[in-house]
Amino acid sequence: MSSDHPGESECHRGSCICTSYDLRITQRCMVEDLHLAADTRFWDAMSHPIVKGFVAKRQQVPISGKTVGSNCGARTLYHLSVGNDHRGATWHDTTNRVVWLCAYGWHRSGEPDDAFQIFRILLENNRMYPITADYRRLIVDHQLRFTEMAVVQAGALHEAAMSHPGIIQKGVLGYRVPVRIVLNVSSEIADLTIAFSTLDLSKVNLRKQEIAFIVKCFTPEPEGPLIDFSDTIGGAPLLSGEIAFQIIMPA
Amino acid sequence: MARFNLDIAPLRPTASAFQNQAAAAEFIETNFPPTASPQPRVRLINLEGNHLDVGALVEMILPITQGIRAGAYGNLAFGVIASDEHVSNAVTALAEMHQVPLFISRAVDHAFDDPKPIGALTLADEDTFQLLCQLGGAATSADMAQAKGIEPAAATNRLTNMVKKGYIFRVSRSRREGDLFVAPCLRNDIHGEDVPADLIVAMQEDEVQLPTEVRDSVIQLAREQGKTPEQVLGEAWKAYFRQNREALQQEFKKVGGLIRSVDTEALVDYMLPDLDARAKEAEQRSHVDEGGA
Repeated sequence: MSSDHPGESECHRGSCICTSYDLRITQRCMVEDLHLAADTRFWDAMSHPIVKGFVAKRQQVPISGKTVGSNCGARTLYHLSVGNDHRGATWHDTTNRVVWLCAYGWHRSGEPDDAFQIFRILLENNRMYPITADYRRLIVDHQLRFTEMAVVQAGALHEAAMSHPGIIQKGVLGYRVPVRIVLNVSSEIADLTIAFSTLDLSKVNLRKQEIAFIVKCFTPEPEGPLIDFSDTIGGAPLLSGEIAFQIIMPA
Repeated sequence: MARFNLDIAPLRPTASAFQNQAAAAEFIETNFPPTASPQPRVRLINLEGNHLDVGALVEMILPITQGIRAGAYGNLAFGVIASDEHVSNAVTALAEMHQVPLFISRAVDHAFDDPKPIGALTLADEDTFQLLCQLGGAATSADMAQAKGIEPAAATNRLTNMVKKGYIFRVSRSRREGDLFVAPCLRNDIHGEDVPADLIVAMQEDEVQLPTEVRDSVIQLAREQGKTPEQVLGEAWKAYFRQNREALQQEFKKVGGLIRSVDTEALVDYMLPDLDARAKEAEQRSHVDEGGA
């Protein structure tokens, strides 16, 4: 998996990747509260105590502690406390599988710039939760993660298929798309068959561009080999919902 | 006819898991990895016939139920099978003390027929769950409102509250049909071979995330052809590509060039032509879930 820092594979661009969700920081919080650039990578933001605390306290359990403001169902904000001074507000966005750090401030009990006064004002002004720009970055980061990983994983699968002609190799590209491939070699030609479902593991329908990308991950050569459809893979019928492409190359 | 796609399984821990806290923790870790899967799942642990260590019992029940409440397990309903009254009482007390969603069943043979919800339930919740079961285990808020003689909004609130607490599943359907609320029980008239086709398709619909107008067409076509939405989508893509061979070859050429250039950001731009629309949709979806609507 691609990573911002060697040995820190859990961080990728704006995300800290947990088992079933990402930890992310809203752009407003990043710029106005943490005083960092909007496109700061998560790893770089981890020098801040509240972000360290965010990872320590939310990477296993997405919600815990007291609420910030009143309990409002799926939109309830939770209090994040780090040491005596640092306070944050987090929201578990279950729909998009993200825990957001929505706000940060200093704890100054009774004073007007106390974190909870600031959180209250953000809520009143409807500036607390992530906005379209945050989701835009989330989608781009997810797609970058998928793209970077898929190219590497397709290469490894292709090598395995070349080492074991005639045997179907299975893998999952970018943790999203299960694929099966098989290489058949005769004296003159080699054909590589790639089969995958048009729904990824999250049951999201793949787009035309993603389908083309998956196929070309295995053979990105410029002078394109002949690519055609196939109704079988390794002589066996396709699985329910699968489509397959056959790439024919000189042996 | 396809079966209702509710994933139900009993689990039997090893003897050591009943008496050793570490073994209990290992059993839970192995069998309950956190997942945000939307697939509705029901898991019951069979506690029958073993001497239980209290620490092991807590270790087996509490982390899962707290995780369900926190949303770490997606659509999971969790319970125990305990015929011994003392064990049953202890489990009930534990669920009530920690206000966590749990089901309890008295016998292995009928464990999935009528598991009893315990824990964080108010009297209104109990009443709602009972009525949902009387309605066959699955109903819309309109069904519930009619049966209870209350306003539809009030019925929706009651059911949504139960979903949030982790006691029932919500199956998204078109606005016209209304979402379906399903109790995690296995009644033959609901989840067996006699399932109405509408319900089966509704469950499958929930698993396919497509724009509503496309999704409705896929579901309708799947229903008419007796296929799954996945099969219909696969065939649609095949037909599309067969009719657009030239365009597809162009796509291959374009994407191949981008991969070779190692310009990942350009590749992402290519694959996300509708990025802004998708970002808006993601934001709106999070707002829609705000009120459980």
